[in-house]
Amino acid sequence: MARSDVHLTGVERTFGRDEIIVSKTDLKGRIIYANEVFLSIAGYSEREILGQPHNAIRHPAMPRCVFKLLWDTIQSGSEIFAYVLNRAKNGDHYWVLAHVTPTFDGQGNIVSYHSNRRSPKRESVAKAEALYNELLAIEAAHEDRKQGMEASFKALVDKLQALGVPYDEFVFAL
Amino acid sequence: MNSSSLSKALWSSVVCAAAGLVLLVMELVSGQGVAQSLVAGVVLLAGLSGLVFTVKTRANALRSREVLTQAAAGRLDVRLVGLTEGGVLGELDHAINRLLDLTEAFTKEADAAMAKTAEGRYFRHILLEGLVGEFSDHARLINDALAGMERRSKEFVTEATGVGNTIKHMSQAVAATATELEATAQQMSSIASQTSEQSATVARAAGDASSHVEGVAAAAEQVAGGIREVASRIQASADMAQETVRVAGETDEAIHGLLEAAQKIGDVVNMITEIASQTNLLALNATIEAARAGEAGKGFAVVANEVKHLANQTSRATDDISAQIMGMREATGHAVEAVRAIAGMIRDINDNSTGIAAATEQQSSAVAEISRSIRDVAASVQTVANTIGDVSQVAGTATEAADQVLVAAGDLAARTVGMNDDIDAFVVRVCSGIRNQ
Repeated sequence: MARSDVHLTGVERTFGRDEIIVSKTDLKGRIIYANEVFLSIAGYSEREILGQPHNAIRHPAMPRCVFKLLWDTIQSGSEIFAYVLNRAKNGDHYWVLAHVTPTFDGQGNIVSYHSNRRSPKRESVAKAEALYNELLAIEAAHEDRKQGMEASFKALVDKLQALGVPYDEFVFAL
Repeated sequence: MNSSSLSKALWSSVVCAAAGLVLLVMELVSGQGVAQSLVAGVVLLAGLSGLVFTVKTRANALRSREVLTQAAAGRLDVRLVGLTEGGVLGELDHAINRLLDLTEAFTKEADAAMAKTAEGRYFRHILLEGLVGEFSDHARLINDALAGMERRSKEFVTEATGVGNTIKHMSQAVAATATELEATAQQMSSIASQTSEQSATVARAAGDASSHVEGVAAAAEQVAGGIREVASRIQASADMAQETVRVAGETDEAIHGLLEAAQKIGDVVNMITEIASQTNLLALNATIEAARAGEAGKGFAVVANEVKHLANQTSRATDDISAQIMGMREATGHAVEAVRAIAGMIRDINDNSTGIAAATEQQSSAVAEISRSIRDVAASVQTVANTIGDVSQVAGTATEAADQVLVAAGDLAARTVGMNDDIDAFVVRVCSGIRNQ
């Protein structure tokens, strides 16, 4: 997907602090459930979004290394928190604090992924945005997409190592 | 049979459609009027559409039932998807999904918060955003409980770390003391073994000294004996000298007697000289008388001459004797002087011998004293040797003791270090799982 082609309006959407955006995907990341709040803020009908890959709502201003970390984490069976900028169907954008968890069957196998997204605090968004801009710049500095993502991922890991805190605590403290 | 309103609606629709169909057929067969046929047709259509929607509603209700049944069985990830109904049915479907979304969000949050807390990481509380009503209340309650657990475990960690540190400080002090003890024991050991060696050396030296002193004492005995011998010999010499003096005195007297005898001989000789002189004079007179008597007197003159000759010879002999006596007296005087000189010298010798005897007596007693002292010294040296032997033995024991102390101190130090590690491990162990950050 060529990011430059994505249509953006620059308009930010928000949702209530007592609302949760919920979606579920299968193991390949295709959406198998989206709740009313999801549909309402992303501007899709259920029919349109079911079966679509979750990156349908991906915003070009998100560093790819964050999604790599997200997928690496949930595929290993752990939960992950991340501040994520999403894109609505019409090109508007909205920030969420995503909490993604794997869902297991009775034998402990991952059968699907579940994402709860909450309305984030503005100051946390500002901090996340600053970090993402740094990572984006690193990714943009590389011709090769894969190399760029690896470089930004390394930068993120180094930053956490320098801070001496695990990622989950780092995100919680934002 | 207790059937649902939906079943009743379904059956009502079926009845209605069937009635409409019967009515329509009857109207068409009798051909009595268009109006009645139209009404019958509407009734039929109403009945059919009622049937269709009732079936659809039933299908929707069955789906909802299926999802709720699974949720009731504990599967919270099920949802109603592909929602087409609006109105009450649609709202019902959305409400079911919302309830499940909330329930799942709550359980996932609670799970994660508990799991992190179980790992001793307290940063993870239930996110209250999106939770409403009692979900939110329960979440707050759990968060408060987690915060309380965090506080208490922090207190515990502080307490345990404090106790651990106290124990560690103490055991470090013990370790330091043990190390010092080790060093001291090492020092003590080397001092004791030096003492042992040195006292053994001293003991040997003392033994040597003792035997040397014994030798000296024996030599002093011999010297004392020699001195006594010398003293007795000197005494004998003194006795002999005294005897000699006495003999010299006797000799002196004898020589005096000799002088008196020579004096008496001189007197006799003088008398004889007197007699010879008178005899000579008489002979001279006789000669003269003989000459006057001439021839008759010739024979007499010869005798008178002979007498004169004898008198002269006697006079000469007495002169010789006198001379001899003079010489003898002179020689005797010399002899007396010589004897007196000898006596004086012998007296000197005697005096010296007496002095020597006294001196040797003193020496003898001094040497005896020295000998006694040397024996005492020998005994003392022997005592010293024995004592030093004891010291050596004690030092040997001290060395062994110090070595044992050394080993014990080393062991103690090692154990203390081990204990420190154990304490660290213990503190880590008791605090792991509750240690925050």
